[in-house]
Order: sequence, then C-alpha cells, then structure tokens
Amino acid sequence: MIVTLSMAWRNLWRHPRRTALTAAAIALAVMVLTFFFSVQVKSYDMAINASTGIFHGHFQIQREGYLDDPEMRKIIPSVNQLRNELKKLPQILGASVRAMGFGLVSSADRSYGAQIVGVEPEFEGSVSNIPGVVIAGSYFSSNEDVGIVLGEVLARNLRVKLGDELTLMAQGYDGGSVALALPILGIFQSGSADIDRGLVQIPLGLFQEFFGMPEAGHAVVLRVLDRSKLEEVGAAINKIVESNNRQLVTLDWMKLMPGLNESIELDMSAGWFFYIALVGIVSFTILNTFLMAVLERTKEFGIILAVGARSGLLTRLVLIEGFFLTILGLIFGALLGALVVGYFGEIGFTAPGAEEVLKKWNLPGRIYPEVSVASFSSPMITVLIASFIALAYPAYRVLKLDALTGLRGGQR
Amino acid sequence: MSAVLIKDASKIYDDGERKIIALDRVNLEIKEGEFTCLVGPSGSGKSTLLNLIGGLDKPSSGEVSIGEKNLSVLNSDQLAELRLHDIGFVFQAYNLIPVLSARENVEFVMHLQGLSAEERRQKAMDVLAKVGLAGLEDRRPGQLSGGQQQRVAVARAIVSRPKLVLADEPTANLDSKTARNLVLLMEELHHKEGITFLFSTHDPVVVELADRVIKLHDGKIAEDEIKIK
Amino acid sequence: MKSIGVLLVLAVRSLSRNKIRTLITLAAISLGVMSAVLLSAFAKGLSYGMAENAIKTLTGHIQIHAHGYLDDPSAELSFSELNQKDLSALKSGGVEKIAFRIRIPAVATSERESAGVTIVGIDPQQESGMSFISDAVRQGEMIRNPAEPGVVVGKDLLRVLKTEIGRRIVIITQDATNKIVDRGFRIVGVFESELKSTEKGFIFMGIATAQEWLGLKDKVSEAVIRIESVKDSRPAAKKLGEILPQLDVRPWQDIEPLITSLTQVHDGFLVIWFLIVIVAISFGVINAQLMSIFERTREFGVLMALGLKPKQLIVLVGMEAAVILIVGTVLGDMLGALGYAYLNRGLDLSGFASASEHLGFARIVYPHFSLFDWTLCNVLLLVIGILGSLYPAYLASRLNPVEAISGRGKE
Repeated sequence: MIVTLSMAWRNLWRHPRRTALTAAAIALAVMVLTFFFSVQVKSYDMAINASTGIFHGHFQIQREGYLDDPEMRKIIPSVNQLRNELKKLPQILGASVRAMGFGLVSSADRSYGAQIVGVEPEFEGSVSNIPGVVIAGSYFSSNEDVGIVLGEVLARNLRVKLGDELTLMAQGYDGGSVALALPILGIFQSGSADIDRGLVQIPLGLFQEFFGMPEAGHAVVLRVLDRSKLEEVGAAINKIVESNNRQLVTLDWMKLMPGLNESIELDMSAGWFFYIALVGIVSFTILNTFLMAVLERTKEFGIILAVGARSGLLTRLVLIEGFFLTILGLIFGALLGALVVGYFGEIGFTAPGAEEVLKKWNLPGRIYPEVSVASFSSPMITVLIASFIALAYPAYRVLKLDALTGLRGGQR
Repeated sequence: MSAVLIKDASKIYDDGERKIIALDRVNLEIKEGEFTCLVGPSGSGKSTLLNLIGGLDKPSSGEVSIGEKNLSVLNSDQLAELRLHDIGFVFQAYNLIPVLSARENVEFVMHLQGLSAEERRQKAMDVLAKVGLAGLEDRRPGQLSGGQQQRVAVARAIVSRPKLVLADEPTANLDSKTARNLVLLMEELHHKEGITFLFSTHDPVVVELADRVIKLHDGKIAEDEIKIK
Repeated sequence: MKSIGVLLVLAVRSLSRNKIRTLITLAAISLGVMSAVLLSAFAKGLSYGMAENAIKTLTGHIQIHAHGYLDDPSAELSFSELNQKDLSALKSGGVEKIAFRIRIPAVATSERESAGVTIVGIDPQQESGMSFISDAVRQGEMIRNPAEPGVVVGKDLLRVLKTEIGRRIVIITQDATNKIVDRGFRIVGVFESELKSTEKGFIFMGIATAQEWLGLKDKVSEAVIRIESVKDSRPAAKKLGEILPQLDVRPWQDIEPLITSLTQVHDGFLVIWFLIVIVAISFGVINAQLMSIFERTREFGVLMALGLKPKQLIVLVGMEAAVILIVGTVLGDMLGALGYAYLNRGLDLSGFASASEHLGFARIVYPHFSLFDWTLCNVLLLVIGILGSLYPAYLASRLNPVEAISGRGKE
C-alpha cells in the first residue's frame, strides 16, 4: 500500500505544470467558496442576533392564536409566575413580560399610529437591547415610573424632544376608548427603522392601568444563552409552558420573524446556485487532467497488468492520485481563503448599495467575516465530493483496461 | 514436465468483413530449461503465440497450458496470479515504471506477491547484482541507458524464479554490442538458475545464441530446429 | 497574414482530434456562460420585479410633493394643484399622464380593532392606467367619482380589523390645521394585491371627499407622473424639477431606495461572479491547451522543420483557444437562452412567501434579459480566455524543432 501511495504522489509530479494548474483551479474554487460562505454565515448570524436582540427575543410565550390575531383579550394569566419559572432554567439568559396594544400617539403638532408596549423595566434589558441604546434621556428605572420612551424616527416624525408631552389614545381592554398624557423620558435608537418608527414603550404597571387590564400580559419574551442549542432549549421551555397552561404556545424567532428566516433561506439557495456552477466548472478541469493522466500511461499500465497486478491496483492508484491532487488544492485554497477572510475580517466587507439592503436585516453596512468550521467545511467537502465524481470516468477507463489492450497502446 | 504445452491452438480475428487466421492449429511443447526463440516475419503469428503463452490472450480454439495449468479455464484474476508467480516478461520498451527506481521496480512484483520488506530488499539487491547493476539500484529509468533498463527488466522477470520468461523483441531498441551482452546475460542466467527462456525476435544475435529456433509462417510452425551444440 | 486560413483549418482539426477533451472543455465553458447569463437574468428580474411592483402599486415613475413632505407626510405640507401653464409645460416635458392624490397617515378603527394605515385620496379617472387600484377591486365596487363618501380597503385589512364590506370604520387623522379629526366611512369595495402589506396599509377614498374633510380645499399631497419610458425617470425628473422649482420632484428610484440599492449590490456581485467564472474557465482552457500541445510536440517539430515560424505557432495555438472559446460561449448562450425560455414562465417563489413580503417582491419572478450583462460576460470571457492562451502559445513557440521531433520537447 505504501508503494502505491508513493507511486501516486510521484506520478503527480511527472507533469508539474499540469498538476500545479489543476491544483490552482481547485484552490481558486475553494478560496472563493470559503470567502463567500464566511461572509454569508457571518451576515446571517449577525442578522439573527441583531433582529432577535433588538426586540423580538429568541422565544416568546403567547396565547395560542395571538400571533396571527393580536386581540387585547388574549392574555396570559398568572404571567409573573410563568416568567419566574422560565427564568430559573439554566439555558435562559433573561425573561420579561410584555403587554401590547395599538393606538394613536399625538404630539402638539403631529399624530401617528403606533404600537404601545408595556414593559418590565427590571427585566426588559435582559431580553432587549433597547434599554441600552437610549440616546437622549434615560430608560425606565422602575415599574412605578410615569412616562414614555420612543424611537428616534417616531420622535422626529412627531416633532418632539425630551420632556415633551405625548397623548396616547387607544381602545381599552373592555373596548372603550382610553386616553393618557405622558412626558417623554427617553428616546432610543435601535438601528431598526421599523422599531424606531413603530413603537412606544411604557412601564407594564402603567399599561395595565391605562388599558384597564387585569394583572396579566400578552407575551413572555426570552433570551437564551446559546443560540445553537435552540431546539433543546425550546423543548425545555415547552415542558414548563404546557404544564402551566394548555392554551399557551412557545414561538421561536423563526415563527416570530418569518420574513427574516425565509430571506436567509432564499439567500442561501441563491448562493448554492453560484457555488455548484463554480465547482462544476472546476470538476471539468479535474476530469480533463485525469483523463489525460490515464490515457497517456496506457502502455505503462498494460505492462503493470502483464506483470501480474490486478486492475484494482491501478484503479486505486488513479483514485489516490486524484485524492492527493484534490487535497493539495484544498489545502492551498483553505489557506488562501483564510487569508482573504482574515483581511476582510479586519477591514470589513461591503459593496456599493449594501448598506441600504443590510438595513432591512438590521445589519450595519459592513460585514466582518470570520474563519469558522461551518464556513470552511461545507465548501471543502463539496469540492472533495465533486472531484471524486470527476474521477469516476478516468477510474472507470482504468478498471476496464486489460493487459493486452494496454500493451498495444489502447487499440484492440 | 513441460513448461509450455500447446495443443491445436488457433486464434482467429473476425471483424465482420474478413476472417484473419493469426494462428492455425498450432501444436508446440517447450520443456523446462529450454532457451528457445520464435522467429518469423510480421504477421507470422509469433506475437500472437507469445500472448497466448503469457496468458494475455485466449485462443479461439485449442488448449494452452503452463506447467499443469490449463489457461482456458482460468478467469482474468487467476491469469493475473499466474503471470505474477509463474511467468516473467521482458518487453521491447517501456518495461519499467518511470517513477520507481531500479530497485523499486524489481521490488514491485514482490510487493504484489506479499513478501516482507526485508525479503524484497534482499532479493532485489541480489538479482540486480546478478545482472551487473550493483550500485545503480537507486537510479530511475530516465537515468539509465537502454541496455541498463532492459537488464533491470530481466532482473524483475527472474527475481521470483518463474517457470518461464517471455521476452518479446527485447533487443530491438539496442545497438548490436549491447544486444549481444543482454542475450549473453540471459543465457548465463539460464545456465546458472535453470530458467526457461522463450524469445520472440528478429535479431540474428538471439537466433545465434538460442538452443532451439521455431520458425512461424502464416500462423503455422514451418520449422522447428534444435541445434546441436 | 496569408497563412491564417490554413492555420485555422489546422486549429479546428486539432481540436476535433481529441474529441473527449474538447467536449469536456466545451462543457466547462458553456456551463460557466450559462450560469452567468441565467443568474444575471434572474437577479435583474428580481430587481425589475420589485421596481415594477412598487411603480405599479403607487409609486409611479415620478412623484411631486411639497418640499419637506417626504420627511413629514402631513396634511399641512400640501400644495395647490398645478395651473394650466404648468400642466402644459409638463406635457411638453414628456409627461404622459398625471394623477393628483391626498396621502396622509392615519389610524383606522373598527368596533374591535385598530390599525395604522395611509389614506390615499384619488381621482379614479386619473388613477386608471396609472396605478394598480383601478383593476384591483375584487369585492364590492371601486369609487367612481372623487366626491363619493365610501372607502375601498385591502382584503388583509378587513381581516386585521375584523370587519366586512358594508360596515363602517372610523378613521382618525390630522387635518390641514393639525387638529385631530375623525369620521366614519362605509366600506364599499375591497381590493387585493400581491403583497399583504399593500392590502393592510392603504385605504382609498375620493380625493374631493378627503379634501373637504381635511379642510384642504383644492390642495393635494402628491402628484404622480407617468412618462413614456421608465428608464428616463431620473433625467425626466430633473427636467421637471427645473420647470417646477417650488416643488420637490423625485424619480421613483429616490422614493424606493431599497430597490435601487439592491440593484446596485446585484450588479456589483454579478461582475465579481463573471470574473470568477471566467478565471475558472481560463484555468480549464489553458490546462487543456497545454496537454494538447504536449501531445503534439513531435508534430510541431515537423511543422517548424517544414518552415513554420514561431510567431505562426503562436497564432495557431491562439486560434485553437479562440475557436473553442467561441464555440463554448455560443453553446453557453444557447443553453442560457433555453433556460431563460423555461424561466420565462415565471419562477415561483411562493415557498418564500414571507421573504417576499419582507423584502417587497412579487411571488413570481420573471427573468430579465440585460444586453449589457450578456455582452459583458461574453466579451470578458473571450478577451481573458484568449489572453490566457498566450501562455501555452508562448511555450509552444519556444520548441526546438530537432528536440521536438525526437520527442524530447517541453515537459
């Protein structure tokens, strides 16, 4: 076997230019793939983190049917107890209760419809970034605070500043109209235009009082420690939720933000189209190289067979040669890929127009890709598989060779 | 016991338009220890006959046996085994694997036979010394002259003490002096080790040194002369 | 050079001598070209689809507002309808059709729910042929004259508000004096649209009704313009802006920056993709050529012994590259055309319904052929491919005839 290995390696270098060129083609494909994969993987990761981190969280417990049809009456009773139970789970980083309604928010000059969210000042910061991105004033410090915080786009639209008074008008829990005037305690800038334009927050106690709600909420928002173990955590959460109240459901971020989830899937599918095409092109080069490497050695192979080797030996030889060549290309490609990813990891990767597009996913204009097992292993495995498919035909030609045909140089 | 026994062997090529009778009911016996050559013009069937004997091809009819083994009942794997253990080959050119050194080329067949590294090395060095190439074992074919390459081929052919060595025009690419030396070497090995040699050749040097000359013509044996020496 | 004819024949014959290798190389080239062409058509189709969708929905080719309206879309920032002088100036500036609207944010409430919406006050005659609404009403009736009192809402808004056609909803908004006003309106029609966000977001009413309710008299929030060719939107908007300096004239690209950016990003990526594919193909072509030259060393030696100059050998090799590149490219274009015809039925992305809602493109995407992209890809490939072949050509020209004939050439 060692002889075969050493023969295979030496055979590659009988034609150094050809070997180098083919390995370079493989390396090019691997480099391109690993780079783009890294950018993609990082973008998705950042998008998910950003989107879940800003407001929606990784999981939300809601009343069944609330997501599609958010009626005020679909409350979670004994919501504090549920929140405490869930907080105890080791995989949970934070849990907080929210209540939600919709109403008209008016300043002296302007009025806009907006979502009104009742939050728990003590816990909201553990599930959302908003408390941490207040650019004017400050966030609520306790549930007894009387005031409102809103996003800076809405503040701009309403033409208000810190301290100004806003009037809220909405339909209460019982269906009647309710109104309340509150001073602006803080203005936040979350980075998401939709959030900064579309919602205002007031302390949960105030919300329950204003809307005339019993002590309850509409959602328990959860943030997990390790997003990669989502399913596992979801199961643990579900156990508690089901034992608490059969009418509640556990929703993960993919259900909460289907647009984001599918955008990622769509982007990945488009990406794969690229990658398969590129790998396909390189496979043809591998095929060409190895077909020649086999056909030009017909006589040599014939003699080896005449001397008593089985054709299995030669087939193995050719496959090992192919394997060595591919590994060569893979290693160089991975090194180059790591270099490129590292370079852009430092200076950031962007494209003209990208900033606007990335905003839709709550991302900044530049992506800083990272070298990771996920982003490197997929491309390398794909190229490896493709090169073995390319080797199939040359290996087949060798398998079918018999000594006599070989000695005669290939003609029967 | 005969090294080679051929009974009524024929080889017919039929491409649909014509029938070519390469060998016509040939009968031949080659005993162990012979130093024999096949001669004849192109198309006489000598290469075909050699291929049949070497188990590289099967007769259209008749029987070919090496030792006691009838080649027609063997499948291709078994034929390969036969070639590995019982037959040695020396071809006109391209005998050696270019990426292996002389020693590695000789060791190659022993690898296939399953010998240990120690044994392989020992035997290879031995046989290379016998063919006069001591000191050149680590050279690659590209670094050896035509005559030296052929000697390595001979070394490889005899290293496993086969029943029979088939040499197909082994001197065709060599100048007359080198050719003579090569054949003298093979004769020496034949005497010392008692190996059976069967040549197919045009070369008068080989004919001169052979013990038995079989002339082929149009697929049949025309003459079969055992020289008295 | 007179010998080009014979060299060309030699080039073609050499390529057909090793059919398998030539076929494999052709396959690589055509795969690359086909993928590049199709991808560009799809990406362009996506952006065009989004643009068309937006334009058809309500954006139009060009929009006119009062200065400051885009940042603060209130009734306060409305402008008087244009006079005859301005209108005829616009017509000579290339304007085919113009529609005036009221457009302000509001809150709509039913008995049970409320939602944020945008009120669009329209003149049905002006809107026909301009935006989607004239053909979009599926239940009930579209408003026929601008003073009708009823409203037309989207199907998804009915669901959100939990109401139905024939019932009343109350709309709350700010009038021209910034006072909060509310009024009840009966739903007389229900429209449907590709995107739920459109159905949820807009309520249509007669423009006169809106003007009267909000105290606007004859003022409007926006004017939407259709010109002959959507491609000229930006230059046309600039020209119109000069005719109407007192107003804010914008092409649709400024109103929908996301689509413009997406197109930019796609274009950028396509160029990079083209280059990558072309480099990959070039490796393959150069590799194949080197192998073919190596096989024919003896033959080249003979040719040179017969009097062929090294320069001519370069031309020979260059031509082989050109022939195989051209044939491969044409094949790739044909395959791309086939793929295009197939995709022309529309690529169904319903599986990504939420993504299309999020990003704003229609469920079914049609490929869009861009002559520029296609030309760029083909030309780049031929240029880079032939340039690349100069390397093996150079190697071939350095062969020593005597060595070559004896079989001891390069490699």
